[in-house]
Amino acid sequence: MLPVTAHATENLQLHEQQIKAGLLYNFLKYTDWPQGSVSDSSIAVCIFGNDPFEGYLQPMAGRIVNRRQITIRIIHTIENAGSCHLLFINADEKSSWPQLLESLKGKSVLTVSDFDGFADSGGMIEFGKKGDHINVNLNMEAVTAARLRVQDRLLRLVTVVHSGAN
Amino acid sequence: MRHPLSIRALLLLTVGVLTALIALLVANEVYQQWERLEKIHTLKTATLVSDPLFDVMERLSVERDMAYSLLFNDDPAFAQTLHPRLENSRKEADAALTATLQALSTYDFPGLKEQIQTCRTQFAALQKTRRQIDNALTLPLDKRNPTLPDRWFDEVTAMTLQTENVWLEFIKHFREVDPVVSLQMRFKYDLRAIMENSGRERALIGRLIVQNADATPTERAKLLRWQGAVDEAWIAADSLAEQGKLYPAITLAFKEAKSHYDNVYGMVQDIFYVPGTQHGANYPFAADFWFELSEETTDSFYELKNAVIKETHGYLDALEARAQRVILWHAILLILTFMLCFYSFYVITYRVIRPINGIVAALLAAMQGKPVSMPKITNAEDEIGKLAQVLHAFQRNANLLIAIVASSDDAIISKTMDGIITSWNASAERLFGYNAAEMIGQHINLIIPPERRKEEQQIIAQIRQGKPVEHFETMRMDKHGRYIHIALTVSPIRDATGNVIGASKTARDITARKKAEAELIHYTHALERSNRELDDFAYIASHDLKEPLRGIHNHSRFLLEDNADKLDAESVKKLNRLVYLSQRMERLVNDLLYFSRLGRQELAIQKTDINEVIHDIENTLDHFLVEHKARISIPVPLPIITCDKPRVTELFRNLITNAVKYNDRPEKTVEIGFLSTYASPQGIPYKNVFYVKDDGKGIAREFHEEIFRIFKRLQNSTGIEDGTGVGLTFVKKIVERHGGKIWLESEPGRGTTFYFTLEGSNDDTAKII
Repeated sequence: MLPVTAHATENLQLHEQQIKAGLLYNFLKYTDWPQGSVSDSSIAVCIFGNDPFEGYLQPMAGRIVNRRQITIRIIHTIENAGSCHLLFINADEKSSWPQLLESLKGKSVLTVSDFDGFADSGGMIEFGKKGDHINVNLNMEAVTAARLRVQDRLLRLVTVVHSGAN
Repeated sequence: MRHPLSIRALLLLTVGVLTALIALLVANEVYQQWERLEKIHTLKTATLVSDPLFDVMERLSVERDMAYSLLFNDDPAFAQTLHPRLENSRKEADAALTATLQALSTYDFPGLKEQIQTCRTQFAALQKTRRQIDNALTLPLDKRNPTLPDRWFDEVTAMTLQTENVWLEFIKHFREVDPVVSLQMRFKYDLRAIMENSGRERALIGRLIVQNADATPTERAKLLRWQGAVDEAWIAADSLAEQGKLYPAITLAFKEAKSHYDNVYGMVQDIFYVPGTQHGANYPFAADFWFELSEETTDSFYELKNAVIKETHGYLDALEARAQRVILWHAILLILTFMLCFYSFYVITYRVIRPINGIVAALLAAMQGKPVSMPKITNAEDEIGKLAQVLHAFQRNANLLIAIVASSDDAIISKTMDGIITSWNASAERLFGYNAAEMIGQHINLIIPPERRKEEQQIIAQIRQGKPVEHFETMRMDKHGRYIHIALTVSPIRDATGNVIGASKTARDITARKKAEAELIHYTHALERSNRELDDFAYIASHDLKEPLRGIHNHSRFLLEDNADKLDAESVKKLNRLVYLSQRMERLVNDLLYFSRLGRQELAIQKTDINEVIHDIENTLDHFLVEHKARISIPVPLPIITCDKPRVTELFRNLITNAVKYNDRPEKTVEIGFLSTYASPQGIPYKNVFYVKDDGKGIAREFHEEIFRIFKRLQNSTGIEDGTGVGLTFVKKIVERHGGKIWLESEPGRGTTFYFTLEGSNDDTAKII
């Protein structure tokens, strides 16, 4: 039983990353950036730290969302984060998060991560788990503070949470 | 070739036919464009009416997926989440279907009604099944009819396909209208295939999630087949979009829909499509989450479909606008063509034909001799205007000629070669008493006396040869039968090719002239008689006077000779005086006799060399010339003329003798010459003038006329004069008999020159050769 379970769990783990990567597309599609903060032709998806998606994010590069072409960037310094539209923070970089949050203040960057307490600590979208299923929490205050607007379509996929910090 | 139509009719007909042809072509184009416009309009309506069928199909497929999934799950929470969305989808599908089928029922296409009817029947059955589903959902899983889910799935699929059939049945009537729109329809149909197949994938995946079951190999094969169909449809859609001119308008929408599809199916690819994968109940998301994701994909398809519909409508709008523009331009072209046609009619009628008709009428009137005026031409600068101006000028000349003919003192008549009178002027009326109306059309014989009609035939014969008859004096007869003396001048009248077609006669009334001529002849005869009588009288008188004179002379001589001793000195002196006077008397009488002979005798005209004449005189007067130390000079040779030689010799001798006699120079020169032209100091020009010039004492001006009178002598200061004083009188008489004129130019102390001519008005007198 165990090896099978281990196999299934491993697979599941793999599929979670696949689904998380895919969901980033939906986040991009149903979020409105304030005028002037995004160009007409492209939109940047960044990963802070190492790529946790095992290559599943790569097919997204070049796809079209809201008439814009998606670009994927892996960044390792806080200074580069400001030019992103969607920033996924690798859970391993949790320690950098407060500084990142500070540097992104006033900037319209949709922040996404999968470490516990991300949404509570000022992050916008946090991938969590509810039983076997992927659960997506969304911190509306953080989203609003960054002058971003999420559409109803996105709200149907997420659970809206309120950050204790803000 | 004869032209039965007038130029006006031909021009109007040509312009009219051309206009009609253009109008026909334009009208045909307008008609075709109009038909096309109608078709475009219909197509536009058709797409508007039929496009909602896609919504119906899509809503049905969403409903199918959700109901299908619900039937495999009896978790109340799941039902609670999904059931409202199911209801919503049902409402949307029903509303769209009812409205669209209603709209399509108005089209009377064969086959369409049946398809719609089938669709309605299937829809009714579907509603029944829906109720069964609703009932089943209230039951736990094991109480539900196990065949219901698959029956439901098949019924909805069949319903969707039937809806598609309705659409295809309807749209096939519009496929031929425009190839581009046709391709765009095919694109939508292809998009429909993507939606249908991806819908089936979605439904099966949903069911697997709901059931927490792994896909069986059969199910996985289905999924892969459907996905393959979707992939193929994407490729076909790209090609159709390219051909259907949908790019670049839908490029981004197309890529986005595909991106969205690829993204969603990328998420579940490894979970459901990879053979051998076993998950058990460990799917990472719930069914509602999946349905949400897949519905979002459907939304992207909608966006793409809407972009295509919008593009089709935009394309049809452009087609419509273009057809309308073509119609508008053709309508303008048609109006312009008609305007041009009417303008051409106007120009032809009012600026060409009417002025030409006016000119023709004027010329016809002019031909009939009526005074006319050219029509006013408004535009004097165009060709007709110039023609009118030129003809006007001709007309003025013609009017002038008519006026000249009318006002001429001579009768001017024209007639045909057959003698029919064609014109008759006012003077002809006066001369012959007939007026123009009476005479035009009549024969000329009416005014020719019967005995002279032959003469008319001769005139006509000459005219026929093209020769005019000039100053032919004859007799004609007036209305009252009176004979009139006339002088005729008859000229041929020719047509344009030079043929003689008639004659114009100018008849001058010479009755008065004839009378005057007769009188002149009478007076001339009387004058000649009188002159002859005078000459005869002078001759007889002088001849008869000589007899008694000789007696006086002889008897005086006898007295002197026979009674010389008895007579005293005084008597002898008186008798000698008597002898001298009687001798002088005799000379005077002889001169008078000679003078009268000069007038009485005819001139003996002959060719005479004047050089010879002068030479003869020189020989005769040799002694006289030597004695007076005189010399005759001839600077240039003198001419040969026809004249009376002895008389002309006497003329020169008298002038030479006078020139020597009345010259007191020790050496005297007499110059004789001839001038072909000469102008007197008074400026009177003369031709062929002889002169005799001396270097003598000259003659005072008051005697220039007097010296030519008979027996007139100027004072004899030198005592050498022994003449009778008739010399210059003879000279004058001889010159005048030769029809000439004599005069002199002289001033005292500067010599005298006598000039004379020997040419007169009559040909039989002297003539210079």
